[in-house]
Amino acid sequence: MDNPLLSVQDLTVRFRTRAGTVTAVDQVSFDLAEGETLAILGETGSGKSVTAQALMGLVPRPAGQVSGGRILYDGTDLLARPRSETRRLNGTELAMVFQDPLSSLNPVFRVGAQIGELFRRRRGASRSEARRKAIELMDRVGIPAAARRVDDYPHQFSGGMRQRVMIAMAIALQPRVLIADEPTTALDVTVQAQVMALLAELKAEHRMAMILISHDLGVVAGVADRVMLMYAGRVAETGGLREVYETTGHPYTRGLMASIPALDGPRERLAPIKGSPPDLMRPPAGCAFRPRCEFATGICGTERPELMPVPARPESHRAACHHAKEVVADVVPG
Amino acid sequence: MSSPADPLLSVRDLHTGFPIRSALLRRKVGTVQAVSGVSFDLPAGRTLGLVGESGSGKTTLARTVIGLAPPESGQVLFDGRDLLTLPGADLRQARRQMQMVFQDPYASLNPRLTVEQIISEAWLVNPGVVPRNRWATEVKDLLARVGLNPDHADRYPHQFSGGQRQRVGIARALALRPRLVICDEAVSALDVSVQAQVLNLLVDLQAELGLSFLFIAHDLSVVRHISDEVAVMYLGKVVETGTTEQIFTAPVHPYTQALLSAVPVPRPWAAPQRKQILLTGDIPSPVSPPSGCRFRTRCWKAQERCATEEPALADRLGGHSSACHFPEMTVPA
Amino acid sequence: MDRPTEQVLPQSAGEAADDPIGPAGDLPPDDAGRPTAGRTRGKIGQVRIIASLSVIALYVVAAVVGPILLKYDPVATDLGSRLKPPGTLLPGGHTAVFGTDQVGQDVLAQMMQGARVSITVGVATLVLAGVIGVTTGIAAGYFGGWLDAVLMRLADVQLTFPSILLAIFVASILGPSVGNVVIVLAISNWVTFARVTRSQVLGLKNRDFVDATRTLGARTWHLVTRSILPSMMAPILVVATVELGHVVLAEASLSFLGLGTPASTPSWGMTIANGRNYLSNAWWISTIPGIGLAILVISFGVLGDALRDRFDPRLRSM
Repeated sequence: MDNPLLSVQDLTVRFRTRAGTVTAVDQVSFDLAEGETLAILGETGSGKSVTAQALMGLVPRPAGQVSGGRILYDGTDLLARPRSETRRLNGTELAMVFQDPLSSLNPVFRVGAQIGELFRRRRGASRSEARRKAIELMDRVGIPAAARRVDDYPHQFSGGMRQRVMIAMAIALQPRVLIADEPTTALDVTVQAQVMALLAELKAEHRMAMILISHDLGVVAGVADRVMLMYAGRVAETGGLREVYETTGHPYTRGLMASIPALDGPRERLAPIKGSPPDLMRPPAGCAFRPRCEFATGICGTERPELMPVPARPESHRAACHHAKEVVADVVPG
Repeated sequence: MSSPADPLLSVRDLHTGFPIRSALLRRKVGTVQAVSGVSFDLPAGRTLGLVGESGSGKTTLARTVIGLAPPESGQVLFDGRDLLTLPGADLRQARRQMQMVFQDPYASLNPRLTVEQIISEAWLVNPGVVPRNRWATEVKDLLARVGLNPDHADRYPHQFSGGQRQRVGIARALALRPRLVICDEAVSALDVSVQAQVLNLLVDLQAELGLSFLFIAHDLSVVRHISDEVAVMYLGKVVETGTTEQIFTAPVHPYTQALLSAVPVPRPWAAPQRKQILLTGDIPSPVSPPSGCRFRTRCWKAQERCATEEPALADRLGGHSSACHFPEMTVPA
Repeated sequence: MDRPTEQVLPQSAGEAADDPIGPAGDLPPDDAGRPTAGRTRGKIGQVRIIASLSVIALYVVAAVVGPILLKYDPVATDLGSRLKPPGTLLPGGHTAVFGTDQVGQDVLAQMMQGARVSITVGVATLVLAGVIGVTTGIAAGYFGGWLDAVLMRLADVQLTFPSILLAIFVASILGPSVGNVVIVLAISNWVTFARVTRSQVLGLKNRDFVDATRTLGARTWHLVTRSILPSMMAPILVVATVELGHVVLAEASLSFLGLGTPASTPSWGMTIANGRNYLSNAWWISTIPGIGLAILVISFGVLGDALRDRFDPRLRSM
C-alpha cells in the first residue's frame, strides 16, 4: 500500500500478571487505506481486542503496556504522542464502537445529551444545536421517532437500538477510521443483520475506513475488504477476504472454517481443531499453533514462522506458516 | 415402558409466566408471558432443536421442562407421565432421567468443589444410584467419556479452559444416566474451534448412550447440524416446526425465512441466490404482546386479519406445521 | 440513612471479568492473563493481616496466661498501695507496671482478667448472633415472600431500638450477669449478619451452579448447606471480624454503665468506670485500660478490612 491512512508496525502489548508476563499482542503489523474495511478475526485470547485498545490508547494500565512498535496515523506516530493528544484524536479521527453498548453508555444521562455532548465539547455547538444534531444522527442510524427518543435514557432502549446509539456517537464527528470491536456479538441474529447493514451503508456514505473485530468469520464476510486472522497474539494470515477464505494458507484458518457447521449442503461430522489455544504465559517454541496442527513438522517446533507470501496472490495474501504451500494445495479438509 | 414410536418428552399447551410486582406493595400488576401455549414432541433417541432469539421464551421453556420454573398451565409428559401432577417420589424418579447442560461453563460449576465432587454430587443427592465405593471409578469413567483426563478429577473448575469446563458440565449431566439431556445454549459461550469439538462429543454420546436431546440455541447453523427436528419460537410461541430438512430448505413462516436469511455465512459469494430479509424493529415486550399474530408488527405480509385472528400451528404448506395466515415457500425478492 | 448491606453483593471476584485478553472463553487455564495492578496492595494487605492478628493473639495470650501469673482477687483491698503510678514497686515485691487503682489493686492484673471476660463475651455473642442472623438471613433470602418481609421488618425494628435501652431492660429484669450481657449483645447484633446473609443468598440462590445442583434433584437442605452456605462464608467471616470489635466495645460500655458484668467479674468497662473519679490524680486507672481497649478494637477493624479486601474487594462499601 503506497500511502496508508493507518499503519501499524510491530505493535507489541504486554500484560503483567500475578503469574508472569503475557504478550497479548506480539509484533503485529498491518495497514489500512482510506475507505477500506479490515476485519481482524480471532478467538478468545488471540489479541484482537487488545490491538483495538492499543489503537485507541485504551490499553488498561498499569497492568498492560504497549511495549513496542509504532502506530502511524497519517504519517505521525500515535504512540509517541502524549495521551492527551491521542484523546483529542479520538472521535474526530478515530472512533470506536464497543461490544457492550449498555456499559459504554452513561446510565444517568439522556441519550440525546450524550450524543450532543460531543458537539458541545468538541465543536463548541450550542445546546439547541447539539440537540438538533443528536436527533439528526439518531435518525440517520435508524432509530425510529428520534425526535421523541432523544430524551430517553439508555436503559429504555433495546440492545440493538443502544448499539445504534453507540454508532451514532462514534460517527458524530465524522472520524476517518471507525473501529468496531465485536459490535454485534451481544445482539440477536436479525438485529445483527440490521446493524451490519447500517455499518456497511455508513462506510460507503462517509468513505470511512473501518476495522471490524470479530470472532465470527461469517459476520464480516459481507463487509470486509481484507481480513487478518490472529492466533496467540500474532498475525496468522492476512489478505483479501476471498483469498483468505478460499485459498486458505494457514492451517488455523482452515481449521476455523471447518469448525463452522454449514447452513446448507449435507450435514457432515465437523472437523474441529484439536486441543485448545496455548497458555500465553508459556507459549510453545516455534509456531504457536504447532501443538494443534496436522501439518506440523520438525521445523515448526524450532523456528517461528514469519508472514510469507502465499503463492496465488503473493502481493496481498500472506500467511505465517512453514507449510503454507501444502495448506493451499490441500484446501478440502480430510 | 414406551415403544420407540412414542415420544419420550411431550409438552402440551405449556404456559409459563412471571408476575410483575409493584415496587411499593409487591402487588401483582401484570405477567410476563414468557411461554404461552407451546406444544411439541421429542421422540426417544432424537434431537429437537429449539431456535429463537432473546425474548422468544426458549430458555424459560427449558427451565420449565426441567423443573426450575413453575408453569402456569399445560402438561409436561415424560415417558407418558405428567411431571406437573406426579407425586413427590415418582417425580424425583422421573426428573433423575432428565438432566441439563448450562450455557455458561464458568458460572455453572461450583468454584469451591473439585471436579470429582461436582460430578459425584449427583449420587450424593440421589442415594442408591452408584454405591459410594464406586464413585471415584465412575467419575474417572465419565471424565474419559467426555474427553478429559481422568487424572484431573481432583482439580478445581478454574484450572480448566472454557471448553474443558463444558465437558465437566456434560459429565455431570450424564452422572445420573439420564435419557433426556436439555442443552441450553450449551455451546454458545465457546470459541468456534472448541464448539465444534463439543458438538462432536454430543453427537457421539447420543449414538453411544441413546440419549434424547432438547437442544436450545440461537445459532441456526449449530441447530441444523445437530437436530433431527426443529421448532422455531417467537415471543413465547412456536411459529414453525418440522424436520431439519423442512425448516432449513423450505421454511414457510416469514419469521423463519427472515431468521435464516440473517445468518451470516462465511462464503456469501457461493450462494448468490441467497437474499437477506432485513426485519424492522425489535421483538416486542412479552408483557403486552401484539394481538393476533405476534410477529405481525415486524412482518412484511401483515394484513388486517393478522391483528385480529391468531394463526394456529397447523400443516398449511410443505408438509410441516407453521403458524401463518399467508404461508409461502419462496422468499420475496 | 446509609444501608449498604441491602445491596446484592457481586459474587466471587475474578473469573471472566478481569481477563484483559478478551471476554470469557477458552483462555488457557489457571491465572493466565489476570492483571495484578494490586500486587503491592496485596502485600500491604498481607502486612495488615499479620500485624492485626499478632496484636489480637497477644491479647488472647495475655487473657489466657496472664491471670495465672499475676493473681487478681476482686475482693482484696490494699489501702497502703492505692493510687500508685505505673512502675511503682509494691510491698508484695512485684512492680505495678500500669500502677494501682483506688483500692490498691494492680491495674495490669485487672486488665488481663478483664481481657478474659471481654474476649469470652465477644466470641460467645458472635456465635449466638451469627447463628441467629445467618439462619434468619437464609430463611428470608431463600424463601422470600411474606417470610422475607416479616423477618426483615423485624430486623428494621431491632435496628431502631437502642441496645442500651434493651440492656437496661434486661439487666433490670434478670440482673447483671455475663450470660445476660451475651444475650443483650447478640440481640442487638444479629441484624448485620442477617442482612449480609440475605443479600448473599439472593445473589447465589439462582446462580447457574446452584440451579445445576437443583436439577440433580437436590433438596433445599442440601442446596443451602452444600452449595449456598460455603460460598458465602468469606463475607460472613469478614462481618464477624468487624463485629467482634464492636461487641467488645459494647460490652465495655455496658459494664461502664454498670449494666454489664457483675462486680465479681471485672471487665475493662468496669475498671475504666471505677477510675473516672480519680482522673485528676490517678489518670492511669481509666486511661491505660482505655488505650488497651482501643488498640484491640482497632486491630479487629483493620483485620476485618484486610480480610474483606482479600476475599472480595467489592464488599468495600460495607
